[in-house]
Amino acid sequence: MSAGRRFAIYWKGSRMFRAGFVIMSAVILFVLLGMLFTPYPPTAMDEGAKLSGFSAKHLLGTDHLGRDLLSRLLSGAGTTLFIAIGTIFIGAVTGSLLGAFCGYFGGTADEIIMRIVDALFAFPSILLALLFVSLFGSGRYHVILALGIAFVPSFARTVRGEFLREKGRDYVTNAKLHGVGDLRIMFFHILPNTLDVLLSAVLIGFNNAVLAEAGLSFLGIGVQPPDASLGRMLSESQQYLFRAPMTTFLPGILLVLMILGFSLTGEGVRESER
Amino acid sequence: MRYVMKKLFSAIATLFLVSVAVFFSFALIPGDPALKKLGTQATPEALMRLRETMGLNAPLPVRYLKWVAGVFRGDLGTSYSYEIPVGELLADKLPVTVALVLFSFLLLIAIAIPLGIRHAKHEGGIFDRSFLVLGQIVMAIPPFFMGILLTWFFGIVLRVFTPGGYVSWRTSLTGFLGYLFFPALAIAIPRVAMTTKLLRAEVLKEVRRDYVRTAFSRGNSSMAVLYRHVLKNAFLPVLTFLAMNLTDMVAGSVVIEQVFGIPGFGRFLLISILGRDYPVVEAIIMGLAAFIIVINLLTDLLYRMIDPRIGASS
Repeated sequence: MSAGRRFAIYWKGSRMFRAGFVIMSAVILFVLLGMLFTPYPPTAMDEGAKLSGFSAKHLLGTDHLGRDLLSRLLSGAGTTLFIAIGTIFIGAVTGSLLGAFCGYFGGTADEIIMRIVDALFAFPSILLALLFVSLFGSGRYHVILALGIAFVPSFARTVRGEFLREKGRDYVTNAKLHGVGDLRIMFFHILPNTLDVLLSAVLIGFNNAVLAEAGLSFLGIGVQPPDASLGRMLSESQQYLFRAPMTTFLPGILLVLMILGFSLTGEGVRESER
Repeated sequence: MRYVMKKLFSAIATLFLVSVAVFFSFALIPGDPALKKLGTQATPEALMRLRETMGLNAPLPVRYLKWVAGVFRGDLGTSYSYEIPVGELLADKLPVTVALVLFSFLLLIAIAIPLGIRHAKHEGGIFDRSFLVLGQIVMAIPPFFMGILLTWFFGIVLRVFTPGGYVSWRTSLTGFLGYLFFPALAIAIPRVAMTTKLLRAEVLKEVRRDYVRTAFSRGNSSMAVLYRHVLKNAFLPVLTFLAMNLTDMVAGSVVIEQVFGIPGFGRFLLISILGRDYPVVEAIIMGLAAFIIVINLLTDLLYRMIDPRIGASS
């Protein structure tokens, strides 16, 4: 099935998908805009205008160091999204490979790997990430690695389940009788049939990754200053909540929109599968 | 009984694996605790002596066994930064986090279950539909942002509580619980939305089953059918979900303690991670892991009690 037809099915089939897709696209456009252009450098301080409200000079005002809020939002949203993409890439690729091999071949290796995966799965991802960050150190690439590992179990479980179900189907038996190799069956025959499930898992994973990144950065062990990330901006502005609530609300709202966009789109995909 | 033993064994095995993984990963990371303690100016002899007293010269498996034996005696090691036993450090932080998580779990149950049932009863109505939309938005709000919003609205606009004005349970129990109310609410709200949605879906799924029609045809009132038959079946998935939530809420408390300035486990974990105080990090992570494993074990057993079919075949 072509990507276009798939999209049309989701679009027609689910109101959640439509709402989510619109929000998600808007957020991604915002991030892309931020990569090309920010009104000021995100770390440039305007000494004369700390915590200023909306003005012509600083459209969305400034933070406690006089940094332009719009510029920081543009670049911070990009950082958050970048980390989420990296996380999902590591988690989805490793997890899917692991799940595919375990589900397809089964046996003792499957038993052992899935035991470990289940044990890992029992732990909230932010806790795993905290553990890994304390081992690797903080900073954006360490966070990607830490979160990526923390996200492996959920993908491994999902993909393994799909492979376990698909491998008993007639088309797989047929391919085997024709002498098609195992790897080819796994990645050219079975994998395309799991794309729907994988897609919704990736989208929902995105929403969790954004949440986890923001959480870690909020705690001060994710992205390091002076770089902006939405979580970081929230924690920095929290103590100025009384004087300038907007410096907190704006990154928060952007974060909510980002999470909402991905989760609605993901649930929409899941909904129209049924 | 066999089922219980099997689950118990697997829980213990998991705990063992986790302890090995945690211990070895912290033992293998670069950085010498003795060097850190004495500074780079220390003489090699002094370093040697300290390593010996800290037990760092023994082979890893021996150090692991010593650590485990210590844990069983209630000795969690000595904090690098404070130089007092970890157990003592954690003793007055544990009740704070336990109270916070339990409080928010109670709030979750007290709000989500009636709401979910009401939701399902009025399916398709204006209440139901507006709540579905609201629920989706609430679920997308990260707990720490929810905490900030509550701080702003109730602390700054309405002045119901003083942000940052934490009261210790030793000073005043009511003051302590009063201060914990909003943090607990912040952890609970997004989960209320998820639980409500799930309970609604489960109730609606059950209501369409044949046994419900039979129960009605026997002249049962809709209340009786709902409470005696439908809810019993609808609760099963909700129960597992709630248990999974409990573990997530423990993780969530780490962040919320930071937002509201509550001196609990999570905040201390964070300080210890940033200060590379590994004995403390190890102890807290192991404590949280043990807690999560126990919760999962209890859920499995509870599940089986409600539905004896589970695990009977395997």
